[in-house]
Amino acid sequence: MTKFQFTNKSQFSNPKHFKLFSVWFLVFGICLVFGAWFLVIPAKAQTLSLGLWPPILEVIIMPGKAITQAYTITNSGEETIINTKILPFEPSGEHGNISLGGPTSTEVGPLQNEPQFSFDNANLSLGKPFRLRSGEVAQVILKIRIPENCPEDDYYDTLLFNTPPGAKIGQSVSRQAGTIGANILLTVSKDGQPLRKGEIIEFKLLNCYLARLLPFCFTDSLSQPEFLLRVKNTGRAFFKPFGEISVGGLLGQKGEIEILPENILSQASRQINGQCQTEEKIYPCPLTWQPKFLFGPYRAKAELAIGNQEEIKISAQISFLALPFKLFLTVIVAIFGLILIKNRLRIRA
Amino acid sequence: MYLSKGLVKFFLVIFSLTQFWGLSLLFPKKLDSANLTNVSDSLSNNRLSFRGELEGAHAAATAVITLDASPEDARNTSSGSASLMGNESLQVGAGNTASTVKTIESSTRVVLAAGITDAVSDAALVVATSSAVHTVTFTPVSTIASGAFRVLIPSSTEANNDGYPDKDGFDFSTTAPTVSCLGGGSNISFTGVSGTASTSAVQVSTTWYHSFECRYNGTGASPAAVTMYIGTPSGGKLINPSPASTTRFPGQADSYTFRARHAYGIAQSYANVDETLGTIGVVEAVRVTATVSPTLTFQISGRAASSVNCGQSQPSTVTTTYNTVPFGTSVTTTAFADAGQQLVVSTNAAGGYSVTASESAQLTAWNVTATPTIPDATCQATPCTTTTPQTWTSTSYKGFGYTLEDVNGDAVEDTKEYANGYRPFGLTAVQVMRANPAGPVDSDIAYVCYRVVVSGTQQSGDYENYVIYIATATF
Repeated sequence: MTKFQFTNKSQFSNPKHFKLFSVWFLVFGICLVFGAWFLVIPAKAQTLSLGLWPPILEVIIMPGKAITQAYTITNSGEETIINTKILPFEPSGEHGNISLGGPTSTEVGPLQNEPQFSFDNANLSLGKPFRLRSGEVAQVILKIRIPENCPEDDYYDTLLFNTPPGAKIGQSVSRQAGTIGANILLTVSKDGQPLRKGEIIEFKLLNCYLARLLPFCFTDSLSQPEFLLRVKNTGRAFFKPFGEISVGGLLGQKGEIEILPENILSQASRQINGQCQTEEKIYPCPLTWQPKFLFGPYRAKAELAIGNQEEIKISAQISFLALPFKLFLTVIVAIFGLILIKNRLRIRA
Repeated sequence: MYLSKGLVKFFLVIFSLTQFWGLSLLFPKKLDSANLTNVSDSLSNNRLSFRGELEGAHAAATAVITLDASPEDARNTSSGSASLMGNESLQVGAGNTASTVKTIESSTRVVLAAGITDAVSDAALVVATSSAVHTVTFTPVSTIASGAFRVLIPSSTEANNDGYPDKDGFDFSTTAPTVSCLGGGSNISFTGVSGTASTSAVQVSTTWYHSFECRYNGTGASPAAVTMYIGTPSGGKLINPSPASTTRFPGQADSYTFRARHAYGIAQSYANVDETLGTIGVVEAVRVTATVSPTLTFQISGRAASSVNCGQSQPSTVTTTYNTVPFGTSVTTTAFADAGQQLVVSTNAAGGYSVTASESAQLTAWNVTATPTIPDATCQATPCTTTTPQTWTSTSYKGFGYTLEDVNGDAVEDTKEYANGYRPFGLTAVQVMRANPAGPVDSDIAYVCYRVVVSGTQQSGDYENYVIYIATATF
């Protein structure tokens, strides 16, 4: 057994012991440094990460009534300050996107006869910031009160939870602020049956030719007809259209494309999607009919029911002719090629 | 002990008689009737059917219906929506086309995938049928040549074949179930003999039964187990009863007695020989729900020094965070300063999401008199706008702009990716990411890549602005 012994002069009594001790000390030091490498606690990347539920709220409410909706905001990133505000929005484009604008709504709405928003939490107020720690989940109770004299109409707003931009750091910097928002679609109606009106503003086959010159168009027999359907809401309340595009040919070929009921806001138009479905989810997809082969004349009819009112039905119809252009072209090219090869061979001979 | 002669004779007589009786047991008389053994009826679906009522009148095309928690008609015994299931076919009002149950919102409110076809009045019938293939098995015990097996399933006393479930028996449905039999052993052959199904054909005591029969050829000796199928998965099937009363609760079963019979052949008018009773349990559905609510999550994070974003290396002196892009001294007049951030969005909202970006102002030196600004990028071609990127490879064109790169998913429009150039931020928000295709997404990731270069006359100072990213679900 190795024994270390210090003299009263802090020297080893045996030089061999000193050498051995030095080796042990060196090995220990290396181990310590190596171990420390593994002991380093990984630094958590600085991240803003906010989750919000529900991201959309659809309400039909009578004047003079109020509702509350609980929103859950989750902070999976760094501790941050959250500011809240409500801004009106307008639809942007035809795919369900929004464009925020207008004055900021706080505890009291911009006008006394418009929907009033406030928080029902004891410790939170709309428009006043609150701290959200890392990993914290906060519940915000939004109260929407409709004044008695509020006009029957639709009101579209977004409840925004935004973080402040980064601090000034004494150099040229672009600072970023992340915001997450939940859309609120509000229909104020005295009888729960708001005026819903709509029209099909465009219905056409996308992969079709000569549509401008003829009352019908041509498509290739091997193609899969893809339709474009745009609907405009001409009423005073948003709705979801239900329905389908049915396609039928003279030869008895039939098909149906179910449309996805998506919100069309008042006085806005929307490009309608088809409805696709897996076991887990329903999702939008193109309005495509997938027959194996088309031939002859076809008629496609888009028929939609607006909202829950069967009496309001809108429809549009188009015709198209399917011929095997590509197949025909391939055969022509093949024949032409064969003739060419034959001629070449003849010349060589 | 002493016994008298008379008593001994009496016992001897009794003893002799018991011997004869005992011998008789060795040669028992063959009986005409016995029980079939191993009798069972398995249902492919043992849920009770739903037969309830609407609460109040409903207009045509109504997709949200309210069910009556206390139905008025005694035949309608399903209360509220307790035993309904999502995606179930529900007929609202006799004669209306059935629609699919989309959501069960409460104990009485149900959302349908499509509105009801015609208007219906208060207390209108609401039906969701549960049908089942019955697999009846039994082992015959009697040897009957060219006989028949008959299974009797209890039916209601009224409207027992109208296609609507009944609270007191199985409905025959409007399409007669196909009957087929297998097994029976080598002396029983079902070949060439079709099974028959007769609605409410047999009455025993006060109960009516649907009758299902398989006749067979052969001697019937040494019979083995027989299986009778009543209905086929894709064809006609018996409709399971609705709850026997409105007091049924989820998980509770109603039991029905069926009869399995072995009968003589045609010579004896198919008279019954053996019979065994069995029990069918039909249970009230237990709905297990797990709701996954739509959510939206939005994440911004920084990029490390020297990382490559949008094909450009970030300076080794610049590390970005989730809320700062500190260009610092990397901003020069002769070289681009490039730095990036990462945006991540997830949502299970049906329509997807959209992320927009806008800036508070141009990069401005607030601490310098006259507050000079670094202009928004003008690229080196026109139009270079907040929505139209253009090539920007020459440092002769000064300003502050950005471009995008798809990292995971296809959140950035192809025309807005860095291969198509840069564009300036604007005061009005423009879309930078969206779900493509529209719909739920799991971690769409994109880099936002900022670029700045200044002119030689740019006043010195610390320039700053802030960029606001807003993530919302599409409506």
